[in-house]
Parts: sequence; C-alpha cells; structure tokens
Amino acid sequence: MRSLKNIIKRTPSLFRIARAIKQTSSTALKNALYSKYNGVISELRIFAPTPSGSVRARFDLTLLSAKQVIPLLGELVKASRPQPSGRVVTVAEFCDELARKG
Amino acid sequence: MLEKHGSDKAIHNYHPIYASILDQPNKITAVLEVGLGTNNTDVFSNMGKGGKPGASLSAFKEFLPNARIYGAATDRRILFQDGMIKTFWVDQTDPSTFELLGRDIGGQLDLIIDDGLHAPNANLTVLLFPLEWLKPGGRLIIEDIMPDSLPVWHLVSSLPPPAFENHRIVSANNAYLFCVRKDA
Ligand SMILES: C[S@@+](CC[C@H](N)C(=O)[O-])C[C@H]1O[C@@H](n2cnc3c(N)ncnc32)[C@H](O)[C@@H]1O
Repeated sequence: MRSLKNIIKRTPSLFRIARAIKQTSSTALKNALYSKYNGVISELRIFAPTPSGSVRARFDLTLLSAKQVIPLLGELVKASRPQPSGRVVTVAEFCDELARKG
Repeated sequence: MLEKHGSDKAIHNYHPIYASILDQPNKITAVLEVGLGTNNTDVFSNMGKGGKPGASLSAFKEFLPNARIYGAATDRRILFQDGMIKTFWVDQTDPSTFELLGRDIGGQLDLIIDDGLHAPNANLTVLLFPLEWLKPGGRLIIEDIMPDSLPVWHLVSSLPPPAFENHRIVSANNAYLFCVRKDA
C-alpha cells in the first residue's frame, strides 16, 4: 500500500488522476449527505428549526426536536389538567368504573 | 427604537404588539428574552458577523425605565451585563437548564419573549416554565413560528394550562407568534 502511494506521489500524471478521484468522491459524498439531510428535514419539517445555520446542524436539531416534542406536549397536558384524560388505570380500577357506570 | 438598536423585531411587524403590551412602560418591572442574537457564526440561529448580541434588550432598557431586563442564550461568549440588563446561559433543548435560569432570575416577570432557537421543542420548553415566573396578567410571546410547525400550535392551543386560557396564534410578516396571557 505504502509503495503504491509512493509510486502515485512520484508520478505526476498518476498523482493528478488520484487527486481528481479523491476530490470527485468527496464532493459526491458531500452532495449525497446534503441531499439526505435536506430530505429528512423536509419530511420532518413540522419539527424543524427556522433555517439559519448549516444544513448538518439543522438536521441534528430537527431530529432532536422530533424526539422532544411529544414528551414536552405530554408535560404540557400534565400541567394543564390535574388528572389527564389519558391517565392509566389498573384492571381493578377499570372494572370498578364499569360496575359503577354500567 | 428596536431598529435603532439593531433588532429585527420591526421587520417582522412585531413592534405594534410590544407597543400595546408595554403601553405603560413605567409600570413594567421585569422582562426576560430568550435568544440574544449571537454574532458567532458557529452557533445555529446566529445573526451573522454583523449582528449585535442583546440588541432588543438594549431597546427594552431604553424603553422601560424601571425594568430589570434579563436575557438568556446558549452562547456563553456573548453573555454580558449592562446596568439593568443581565444575561444568563440557557439551552432551550435542555429543559433542566430553565430551572437554573428561574433560580438565577428569582423574580416575577411581566413579559417573557422566546426569540431563541426557533423550533417547536425549544418553544415548548419555554412555554412549560413561565407558569411560575410570570406575574398574573403577564405575557409570553413566542416569535418566529414557521407555517410548517403550525399543527403543533393548534394542538398546544387545545391544551392550555388553566392559568393560560387566554392565548392566540398571530400571523405576522412571514411568521406566526404564539401569545399567551396569564390570568390575573
Ligand atoms: C433570532 S436571534 C435573537 C435576536 C434578538 N432577540 C434580537 O431581537 O435582537 C436567536 C438567538 O437565539 C440564541 N440561541 C440559539 N440556540 C439557542 C438555544 N438552544 N437555547 C437558547 N438560545 C439559543 C442565539 O443567541 C441566537 O442568535
């Protein structure tokens, strides 16, 4: 591997080709990531922050927002009603309720 | 005044709302704004290199002669103190940091503004805290809500905490606001 690298380095035409391949593949990778990030942001746009910053940071913040919004809404529901209507009851409590209400 | 100090609030046409909420400037004793407007371009939601951190706080300081003006943001490099202005560190993506902020401020506020990281999770984090911080009759304004996020706000509108019955989604220039008034 090292000798191949040395050969490329010492051969200007090979060096130019290798550099071009490296640049093209890194640009292709960057473009692929960029379009992946934008695709996810667009799918999850309800959670996305206002665009102002790098696409990568916006992608990370969108995922974080998607992760946090529902639990935070749950907190809001808890704060809104002393006994949220989604309260979980035991089988016994539920059967009591059924017996009472018919 | 907002424009003079370098804040973008007038561009969005928010100023008539603040003019009406703060129509008795002498009576306002404490205001908090989350989001200082960093000029460090490595921070998401920055105002560019030419941005003036705390621009709106300076405008509020000039407009509200008796008020303590608090600001908070994630970027520690731009925190400052200037007379009645005091700023603190907070991260809207970490709700626990708001408990610290509450303890640091330790007083009842007339107005809380969320002009920080404009994302629904960050906004909800602010919305969850002012219950105890706001004076009765105090207001919370969440700025720069994007049309795409409106469903979250329609949902939030249907579950206001009892003290927050009085709320509105307001349409401004290119963005919406969520405005809440704590019951007096
Ligand atoms: C739109 S600017 C604020 C402008 C300022 N209020 C004005 O009117 O002059 C938004 C600011 O929020 C702050 N910010 C960004 N992410 C944040 C986070 N996670 N928590 C708290 N503040 C944040 C940064 O200081 C950023 O520049």
